[in-house]
Amino acid sequence: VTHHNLSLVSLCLCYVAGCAGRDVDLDHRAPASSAPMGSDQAVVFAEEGLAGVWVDDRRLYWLTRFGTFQSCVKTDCEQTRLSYAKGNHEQAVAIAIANGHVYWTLDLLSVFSCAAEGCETEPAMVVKDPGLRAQIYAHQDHVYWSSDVDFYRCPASGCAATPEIAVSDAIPYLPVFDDARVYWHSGAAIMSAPADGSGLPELVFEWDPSLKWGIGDLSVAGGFLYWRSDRHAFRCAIASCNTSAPTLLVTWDLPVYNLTIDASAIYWRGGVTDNRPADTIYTCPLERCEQPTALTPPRLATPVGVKESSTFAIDATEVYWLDLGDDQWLSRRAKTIRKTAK
Amino acid sequence: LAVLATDGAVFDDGQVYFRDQGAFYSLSVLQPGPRQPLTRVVNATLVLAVRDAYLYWLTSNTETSIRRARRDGSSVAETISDDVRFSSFHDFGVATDATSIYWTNNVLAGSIHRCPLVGCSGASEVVVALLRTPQSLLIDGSELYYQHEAKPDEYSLSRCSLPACAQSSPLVEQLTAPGAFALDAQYLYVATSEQAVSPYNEEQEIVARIRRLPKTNQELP
Repeated sequence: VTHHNLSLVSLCLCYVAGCAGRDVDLDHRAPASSAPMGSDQAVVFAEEGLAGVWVDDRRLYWLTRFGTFQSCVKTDCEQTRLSYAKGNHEQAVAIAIANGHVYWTLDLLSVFSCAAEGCETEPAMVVKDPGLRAQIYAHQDHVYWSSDVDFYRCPASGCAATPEIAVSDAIPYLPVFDDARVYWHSGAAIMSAPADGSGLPELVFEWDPSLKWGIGDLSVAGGFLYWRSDRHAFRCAIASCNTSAPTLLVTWDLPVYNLTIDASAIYWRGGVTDNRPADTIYTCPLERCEQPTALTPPRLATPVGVKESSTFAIDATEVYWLDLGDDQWLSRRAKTIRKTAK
Repeated sequence: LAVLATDGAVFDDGQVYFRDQGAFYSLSVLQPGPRQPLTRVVNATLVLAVRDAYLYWLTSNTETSIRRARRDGSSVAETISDDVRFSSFHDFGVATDATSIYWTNNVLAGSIHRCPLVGCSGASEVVVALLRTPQSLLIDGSELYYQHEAKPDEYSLSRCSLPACAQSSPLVEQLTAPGAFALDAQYLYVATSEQAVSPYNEEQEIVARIRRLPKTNQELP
């Protein structure tokens, strides 16, 4: 990206996003940072064909390309490993984790659940739905999924005869949740609705439809919505998203993927150059992103559909990622989960 | 009969009606001959019903709706209802009586709705609310027979009196397939099985019984 091109992008974005008076100067490229490569990047777990990693306060979870879904206690992974599902052939499996429950799909048709601390006997079959659209999502004690025409939810213990309709006539892709509401985007707009189905969807924010790049990777935290659009990241206060322009948080040299937020920082997956097959994880303070920091070497696995759905995860202090190693670039198959301090 | 693309066919008064690519056709069942072209249609998915002079069909491309046109092609297509909730993973059921067209919203949190034969002016009317994947319907006089799932791949048959259609307990459980029931003047016929049935398990051999139940006293013999 040349400085000239970036300036044009900046002008366009300022037009729609109202940059005047903000503290981000788009005419200055955010300088590439040197990553703390020398810092600790410990191997947490190693296995062939790793396809996804997740983390919560207590446990680290992973999925293999063969459908094996396991976890361990972060402080003693070697001795505390347990299995929820054991796969035996290469397959796509969707995973969701929340509030002490884990969920996974079988044949992208049925959803199963267990307590995160381990299945008591057999996994609970939550639902069988041929209309299930590839991904599942978890919030509090429910699992959610988009079906033929509606967005459904069921408790972790399993559906009644019919699932609850969380949002009627909507098929959210990668929705996010705050305490009571679910948010999703349609590329050109952000919608929200009560997560329990008690109200109708509302328009939260409308993106300029003339822009080439739509909204992607929605996040919600602290009363703000965050999203990416090509090489940029934005946010707006939920209460005023539709009445004031969003704030531009990040402008980066390469596309921003898998935008993730915690209380003080923003994280994303991105390339190092245009033609490198592996990515790194960048981070910036939420309030002012002048110099993104690369947290990992450029060996982060890149997702391929549902099979590799989550290639990094963050908890309160650390970031965990699927590491390709030095010899896995061609196969793109991660063999280790590493961690480093945020 | 060689047909390039059809999704179901309906029979009425000695004729079979079907879709072949972008048009509907009819063919005499009793006197085979060349098929007769009827109305041309755009985005038709499924032939649903023939009632009086009209042919009813489902479209489900960008929008899902039930539409109709005169079967002789002398009218343009009219929308009967556009609040149809359709899953391509299940059978879609339709039945008509003298005044209305009834259909199964065949999704997981499904229902049965109806509109007047000439179409709804607003939202369609709920006949049975919240059923798991209803797929098949039959109307017999003022009785509506409808199939739905009790659990995954466990098909039940219920009945209600129109027009109110108070929901009741299933009449028959463990049908072998969503459409495994039929009616004549005296009896309801059902195919049932003690085994678990699943459309995803094609290798399983299902042992089924066909039973008949008097319509006036419908308890399994």
